[in-house]
Amino acid sequence: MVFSSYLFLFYFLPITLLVYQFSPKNWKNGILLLSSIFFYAWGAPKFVFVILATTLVDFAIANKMAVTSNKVQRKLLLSLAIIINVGLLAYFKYVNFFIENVNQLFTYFGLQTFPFAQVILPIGISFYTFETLTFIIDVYRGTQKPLKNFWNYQLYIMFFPKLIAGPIIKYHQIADQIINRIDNPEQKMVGFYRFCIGLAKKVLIANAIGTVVNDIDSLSIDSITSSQFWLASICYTFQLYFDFSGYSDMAVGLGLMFNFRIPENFNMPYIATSITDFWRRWHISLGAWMKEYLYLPLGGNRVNSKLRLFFNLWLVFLISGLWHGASWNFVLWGIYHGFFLIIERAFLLKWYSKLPKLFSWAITFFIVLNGWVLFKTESMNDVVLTYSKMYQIDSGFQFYIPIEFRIPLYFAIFFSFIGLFGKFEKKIISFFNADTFSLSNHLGLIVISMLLLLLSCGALFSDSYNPFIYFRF
Amino acid sequence: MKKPFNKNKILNRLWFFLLFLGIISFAIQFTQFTIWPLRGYSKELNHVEFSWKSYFNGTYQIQKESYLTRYLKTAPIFARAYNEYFFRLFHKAKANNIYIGDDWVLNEYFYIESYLGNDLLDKNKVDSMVEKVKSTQLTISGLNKQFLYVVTPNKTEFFKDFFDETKHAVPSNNNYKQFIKAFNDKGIKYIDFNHYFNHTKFDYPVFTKGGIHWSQYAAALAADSIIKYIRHEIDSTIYPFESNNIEVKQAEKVDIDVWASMNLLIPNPYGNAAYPIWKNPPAEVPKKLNMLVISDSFFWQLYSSGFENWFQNLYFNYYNQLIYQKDQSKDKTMQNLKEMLDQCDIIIVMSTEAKIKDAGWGFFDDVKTIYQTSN
Repeated sequence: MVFSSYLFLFYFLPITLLVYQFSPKNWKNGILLLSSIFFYAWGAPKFVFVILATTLVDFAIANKMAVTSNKVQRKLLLSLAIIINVGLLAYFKYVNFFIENVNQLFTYFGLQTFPFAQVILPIGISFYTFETLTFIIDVYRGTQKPLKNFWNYQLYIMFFPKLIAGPIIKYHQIADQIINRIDNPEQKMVGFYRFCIGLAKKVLIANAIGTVVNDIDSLSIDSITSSQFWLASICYTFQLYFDFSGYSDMAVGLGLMFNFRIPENFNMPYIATSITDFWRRWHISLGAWMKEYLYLPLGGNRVNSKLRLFFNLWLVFLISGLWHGASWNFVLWGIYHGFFLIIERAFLLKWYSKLPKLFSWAITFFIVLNGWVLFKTESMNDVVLTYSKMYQIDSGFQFYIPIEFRIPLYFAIFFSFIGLFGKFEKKIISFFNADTFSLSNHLGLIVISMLLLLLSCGALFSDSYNPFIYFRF
Repeated sequence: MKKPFNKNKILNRLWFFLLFLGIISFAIQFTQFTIWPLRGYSKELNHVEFSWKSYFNGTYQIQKESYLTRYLKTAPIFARAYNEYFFRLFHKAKANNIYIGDDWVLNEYFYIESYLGNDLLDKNKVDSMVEKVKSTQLTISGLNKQFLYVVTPNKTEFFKDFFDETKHAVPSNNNYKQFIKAFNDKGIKYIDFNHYFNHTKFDYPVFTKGGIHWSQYAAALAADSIIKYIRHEIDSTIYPFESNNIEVKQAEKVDIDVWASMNLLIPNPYGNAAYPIWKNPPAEVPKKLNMLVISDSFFWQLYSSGFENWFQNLYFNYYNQLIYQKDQSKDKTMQNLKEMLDQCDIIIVMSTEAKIKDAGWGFFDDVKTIYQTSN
């Protein structure tokens, strides 16, 4: 089930909200948990048992760790939990990637190859695995006591607003909210506005721009011109942002509707003035997780040598890339970003500080845009072909986009870059972080939200209903 | 003293109002209400039955979601709002093939393409197709029956100044011209309503801006012409076509079918159209003739206006796939086609100028098969 579906919007969500609203306080977590299990079981009927079982195991391990003072035992328990969770992720997500590469090597040496494993990737496994690890590690570090109630822990993992596509919520960010939250009508209304904005970002902008990308991708790669590759890259850059950030907005909005404050995942990433800055704005929860649970344990900035620092950065981004998908292009994308982070640390940030902000922004955006080519293109041959054609400039720049895709693209560009100018960045941040608005602002926001919801629902319907005037054979 | 308003109380009420809307949208599914149903044709989806097997392999969820989306009762409101937004912002329709010209003149792309000759068939292909028509005409004449080809009009020529593609275009050749020439060369009996309605002045419009077909007024003129042809060529005793009077009212139904399939929010922007009131033959007048019409949707206007009242039996063979007679329909089979051919006195193939390249939809091959097999 996805948020941008009629099943979710008109069946699942209204019923869940209604039952939640009118249930006694001590039933609310149970209602949320049951609806989250239903949400997951709808989309992944076979894997709901996997997630239920692993949460039970992780809960047991964490509680055992909490009462164990023996350091060795605690380390063993931690290792066990990491092996189970990372092992499951590795198996489901990477086993065939591993087999594919081993087979290529074996084929080269004329050896017998292995058959591929019959695995299907459980939805959301990359996200909830990382969340499980935050729970285990926070308990190990002693920074957080484990939840005493297994069902509350289950809710932390399976809370449906963030279950499928994040944000990755660290256990300590939400632990208190699970036990104790106040019914705040203003928060719920803000959640509704946020949800509608996110839905519109995804449906009215990302889906529309995505059509241009799909149309170009459907052509034979040899026939795609230089202009078309650039157009596809530009459109993909904004499609990805509005799709992912739209989904995150919906997650944040849904959380607020149930009086949970879910951390932000995006902060106008395309106005970043360096790759370092970009990673503070893009998929913030992943960056924060990587920093707290990988980069800092490796030593962070406090290592003895610059080489070690660069290695740590590079390794973190290699793993970040691999986290996104079991394919070499993701690894390369991670390495690509790691490389720029390293050279920024080495000297580039100093250069940027001497340039007007617009220059460092333009360079950063250009780097990011080129990076998305790697992210999007699975085949290495196609990556090479794409870059070589992009920089051939065969027949001048000739962009043609039908108007129904051009206008959403303009909106996307406008909203992506508006923060570059004047005080818009601060205004936008304060708007999205605001807990309270004046009543007149609320009325305005309701009207805008209802309009966006109306149009988004219409767009979703029109994807499935495109009538002919008459029935014809 | 005025009570200071309680912001939280107001927001709480707003929140409950939103919940109420959500629940109403859900609950209305279980009632008989329909809200502003959408127009146009799209394939129906079947109700989905649950089974554990289909649930675990995911097919149940996919089909169920499609079904729930399509048949959500409040969906027409969302669809219309979005279609209106799409039209206003992009000047395009969210329906298949619709072309929006100036001043709300609507058309379909393939009608324009056909007028411009962009779908031109090879002359040899046209000749071989018309040869089949000729062969059918001869076969039917040999059975002492009458065959007639009726070419219904393409509104593109009439409204060509309203479409960017046709404003300055003078098509040198198209399928229609090729077929008419071939009809003349091979002695096919035909009525060309395309030329007639595009080049003659009438008291009322024969095309409507918002419809794809001829107007109801033109359909009545066509019915009159066909009856006159039958009186002249086949049976002079068939009751003449008459209409009592003409009702002039805002364009509706078929006359705005293209606009309707756009499923917008705004009301119909079209002015008046003429609706002749057909005067059916009196019941006591004997109806001797049986007629079979193989046609596209243009014949519906005659069929639904009561054209069958002039005949003992009128069979409407829609696209040579589905047979309509009175209120019933059945699939066309070779057997029932032969029965109708044997029974009928007049066989008419009717196609619009734009679909003339599909002439007969396999009917001529069917006739050849039936009568070759019989022989």
